[in-house]
Amino acid sequence: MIRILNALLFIGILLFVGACDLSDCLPSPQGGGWFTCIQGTIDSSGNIHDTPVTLFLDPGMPGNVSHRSTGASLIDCTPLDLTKQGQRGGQGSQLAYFSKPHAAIQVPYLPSTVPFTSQPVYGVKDRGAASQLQTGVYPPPTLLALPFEPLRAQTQVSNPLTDCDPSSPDILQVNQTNNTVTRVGTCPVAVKAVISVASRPIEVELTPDARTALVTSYDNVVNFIDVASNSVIFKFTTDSTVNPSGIAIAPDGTRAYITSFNSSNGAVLAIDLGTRSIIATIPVNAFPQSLFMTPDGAQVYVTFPLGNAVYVIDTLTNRVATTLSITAPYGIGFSPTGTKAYITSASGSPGSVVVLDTATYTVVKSYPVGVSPFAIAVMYGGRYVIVNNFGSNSVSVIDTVTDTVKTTDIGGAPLGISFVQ
Amino acid sequence: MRTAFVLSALLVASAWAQQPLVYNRAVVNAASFVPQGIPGGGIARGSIFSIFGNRFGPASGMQVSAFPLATTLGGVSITITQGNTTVNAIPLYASNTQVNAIMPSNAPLGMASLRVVNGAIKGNPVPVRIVDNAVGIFTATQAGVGPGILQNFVTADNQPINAPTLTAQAGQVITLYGTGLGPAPNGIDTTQPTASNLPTPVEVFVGGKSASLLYHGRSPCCAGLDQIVFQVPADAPLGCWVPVFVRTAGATVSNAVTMAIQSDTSTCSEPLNRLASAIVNGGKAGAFVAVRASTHEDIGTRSPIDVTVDYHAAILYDMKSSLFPFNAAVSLPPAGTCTTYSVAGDLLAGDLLPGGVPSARLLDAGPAFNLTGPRGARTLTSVVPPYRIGYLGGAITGNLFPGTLFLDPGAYTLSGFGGADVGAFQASLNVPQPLTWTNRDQIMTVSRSQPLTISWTGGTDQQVGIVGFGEDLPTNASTSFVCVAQQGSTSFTIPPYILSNLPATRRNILQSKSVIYFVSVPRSGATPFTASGLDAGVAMFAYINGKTVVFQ
Repeated sequence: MIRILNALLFIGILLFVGACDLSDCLPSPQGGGWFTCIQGTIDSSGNIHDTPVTLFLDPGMPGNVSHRSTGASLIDCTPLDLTKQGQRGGQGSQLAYFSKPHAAIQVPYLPSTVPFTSQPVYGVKDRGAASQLQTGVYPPPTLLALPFEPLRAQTQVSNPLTDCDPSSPDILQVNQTNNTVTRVGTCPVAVKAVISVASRPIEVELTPDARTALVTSYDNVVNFIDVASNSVIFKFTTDSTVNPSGIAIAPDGTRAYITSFNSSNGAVLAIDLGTRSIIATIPVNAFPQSLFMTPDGAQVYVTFPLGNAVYVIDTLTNRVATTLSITAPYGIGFSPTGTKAYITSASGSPGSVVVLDTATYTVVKSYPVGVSPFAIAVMYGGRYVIVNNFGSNSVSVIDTVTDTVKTTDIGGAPLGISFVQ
Repeated sequence: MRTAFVLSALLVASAWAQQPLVYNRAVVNAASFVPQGIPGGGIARGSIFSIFGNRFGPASGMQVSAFPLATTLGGVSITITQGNTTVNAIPLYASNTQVNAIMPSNAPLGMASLRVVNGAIKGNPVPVRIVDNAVGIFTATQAGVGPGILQNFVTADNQPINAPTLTAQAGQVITLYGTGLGPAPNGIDTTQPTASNLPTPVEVFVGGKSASLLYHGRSPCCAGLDQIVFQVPADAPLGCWVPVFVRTAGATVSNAVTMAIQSDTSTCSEPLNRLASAIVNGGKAGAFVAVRASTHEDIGTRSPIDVTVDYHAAILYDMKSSLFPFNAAVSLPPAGTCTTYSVAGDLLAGDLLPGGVPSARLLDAGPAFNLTGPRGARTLTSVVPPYRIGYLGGAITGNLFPGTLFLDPGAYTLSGFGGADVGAFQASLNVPQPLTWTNRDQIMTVSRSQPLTISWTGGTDQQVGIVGFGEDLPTNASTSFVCVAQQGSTSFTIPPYILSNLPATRRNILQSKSVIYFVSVPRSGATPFTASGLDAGVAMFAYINGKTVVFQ
C-alpha cells in the first residue's frame, strides 16, 4: 500500500497530493483463477483415476484457494524415469521437470467437475500470455490497474457455472510417456485434439501470433505444430548431442531459445524461426533446464536446478550477461515491468521464492512457501504470485503488496499453473 | 521470514564477482534520463550519456580535464558493438557506479551492445538504442524534470540561469543546454568543438509557442554538450513553470523542462495556482480535496465498464524556498499549455515521478478531519499515514457488490480539529454537477502524430485539465502528459509533440496502459480557508473522468 501518490498528475491539477489504492477500499469481487495440474483424474461422476488431470482453481479472495473440482483426495502418480536424462532422483525434481505454467485462460468459472476421464495428461507447460491459443487482436479482456479503481474488478456472471466465455483460449499439454501433445478447450473443458510428436516431448511454447506451437522433444527434435490444423508441420532435428528441454520464444516471434539438458553438452541454442536454423549456440554448465524470457525480450533466464544457478543471457548478443547462485531454482515469473523476478527455490523444507531485483541482480526478499516449489505465476499486474508446492500438496499465494504468504492444501501434488484473469 | 531472506541473500552472489556490472536498462541520456523504451529515449550520436552499475573502476569519481579526450579514463573504457563493428565511447566521468561518456559520432545506428571494461575485465553486454539525434535538456534538479538549465541573456557578462526569481521576458535571448543534437560535423568527438550550427533541424517550443532560433550546435567549451540559443516568443504564456521542449528532425521530442516567464523582471506568479506561492517563496500551506473519479474502460474489456470512486486527500506542509523550486504535483503548466514526464516505472501502479513527493515538512493538524454532506458525516481516515488520503465510496457497473458512493452534489463542510502546528478550522465546499466530456466515447485510437481535441459542455465556470498516461510495461517506461485548458474554454487540442513520446499501445494490451483523463475543478467547489499556523489553505472538489485508449 504505497501507491500514495500514483495520481500525482491529477493531484497537480487539483493542487493537492494523494490517491487511494482501492484494493484496500473496495471488497474484491470474485473473478479470475488459475489452472493447475494435479496427479489424479476425476471423471464426470467425480471419481478419481490414476492419471493426472488439469483442474481449475478459483481463488475467490487471494490466498483463499477453493478446490472446485472435487472434495476427494487425489492419487499420486508414479514419477517418470528420467535417469537417462541426467535428472537426479526423487519424485519432486523429476515431476517438476514437466511442471510448467499453463496458458492464461479467460474462464470466470468452470463446472464443479472436470470432464476428463482417462485422457493422460502427464505434464503441462505454457508460460503466460504468449502461450494462449488465441488469435484475436487483443488477449482476453481484463481491466487495467488504474489509480482510482480496484485491482480486481469483474462484471457479474449471470450463471457462473455455465457462462464461461466460448472465446477462451485453449491450452496445450505435453504428454511425455505417449509422445503426444493434447489440446484442451476450456469452454467447455474438453479434449480437442491429440497430436503426435517426436519421442519424449518436454515443453511447449506458442509463438506470439499463436499460429505455431513449438515442442521440445528430448530425443533431438523441436516439433513445429500448426495450431490451425493440430498437426506437426516440421520437425527440426538437432545434433545428436543436443537434448532439447526448455524453450522460450522472443516476444517478436523471430527466435526461439532451447536448452540442451545433458551433462556433457550443456548449452542454450537460439533458433531463427524464419529460417528454422540455429543461429547461436551458447555454452553453459551442465543440465540447463528451463528458460524464461523477460517481458521485453532483452534477456532470457536459464535455470539450473541441479547446478544451483541461474544464468542471464543477453538476447542481442546471445552471450551470458551474468550468473547468479540460487539453490535449486525451477520456475521464474517476472513482474509485468520485468523489474522483479520471482524464482522458486526448492532447497530446504519449506522451499522459498526468491525475489530478484532485475536491475541490479540482487536478492531483495525471500518468501517461505511449501515444500518443493516449482511452477510459479505472477498475477494481477504483479500483485499476486502463485506457487505450486509439489512436495507438500499445496499452493502458496504471495501478496506482494501486503508482503504476506498464504499456503493452502489442495489435496494433490500440483505441477503446472495457469493464470486466468 | 527474515531468516529465510538472509539465507537466500547469502546464497546469491554473482559468479563473476569482479566483472563490471551495468544495471539493466541503465543506459540513458545524461540530461533527461528518459528510458530507452520511450520514443525519444534513444542515445544520439555525439551525445553525452550515463551508465549506471557497479564495479566500474575508480572508487572516487574521475573527470576529464583537457583535450584531446581519450577512450579510457581511470582504466575504464566502453565498447559499442553491432555485428562486426565496434567503436569506443569517450568517457567524461568515471566512478565505481557511474560513467558518463560521449556516444561516438560514428557509432552504428540501431540496436547495439554496450560493455564497460575495467582494465582488462569486460562487463556484461547491455542493449543500447543508438539514434542520429535525440535531445535531452539538462535540468537544475538533475532529475530530467523541472527547471531547465536555461540562461537568460542580460549582457555578455550577466547570464543567470532562469528561475522563478530570475524570470525571462518575451523576446529575451535564452541559451538552453542539452545534449543529443546529432553527430559532430567532422565526426570528431575528442577535441574542443567549434561553434557552428549542426545540420539537424531543430524546433523549440516555449509554452506551446515556436521560438526563433539563433544557434543550435555544440557548446564551444565541451565535447558532446549542445547549446540552443532562442528568443522567448512574444506570445509565450507567463508563469513559473512554462514548459520548454526541443524537437529534432521534426520527429524526436526532448524531455520537458520549465522556465519562468514574467512580463517584467519580477518574481513569477501563478494566479490560478493557489499553492504556487508556497512552492516559490516557501510557506505553510494546506489543501484539501474531495474527488469523484470515474474511468470508462472499453478497450480490451468484454463490455464497457465504468469504475467510480470517491476519495479524499489533504496535505498540510511547511515548504522551504529554493532557487529552483519544483514539485510535479503543484508546478503546473500555464493555462493553454501542456507538459510531459517520461520516466522509468509504472506511474499507474505506484511508481513516482521525480520530485513528485513534496520535500517539505508535513504539518500536524490533529486528528482525522470530518466531512459532512448530503449523505451524512464521515471521519476522513487515512490509508497511508502520515498522508491524509482515504476512500469515501465506490461503484463498478455490473459488479457483485452495491455501490457506496458518497460525494453526491450538494454542500459540504470540512472540519479540522487542530494539532501541534495547525489550529482548528472549518471550510465549505460545493459539489456541483459535472461537466460532460462530449467526445469521450469517440476517442478509441489516438494517433500520436496528429492533434487530439478534447471537447466538453456543461458550463465555463470550471478549470479543466487533461491528463494522459502511456505506459509500456515490458520496458518499464512511462510517459504522462498534463494539459491545462484556458478558463472559459470548451475544448482543448493537444499538439502532436506532446503525444509523440507516449509509447505505442502494444497489440497485447495487457502489456500497455493507455488512458486519458478529463479533470475539472469547479470554481464554486474551491474555497479558501484559514487556520492558525497556515499561510494559505484551500478546500475543493474535483471530477476526474477517464477513458482507456489505444495510442498509435
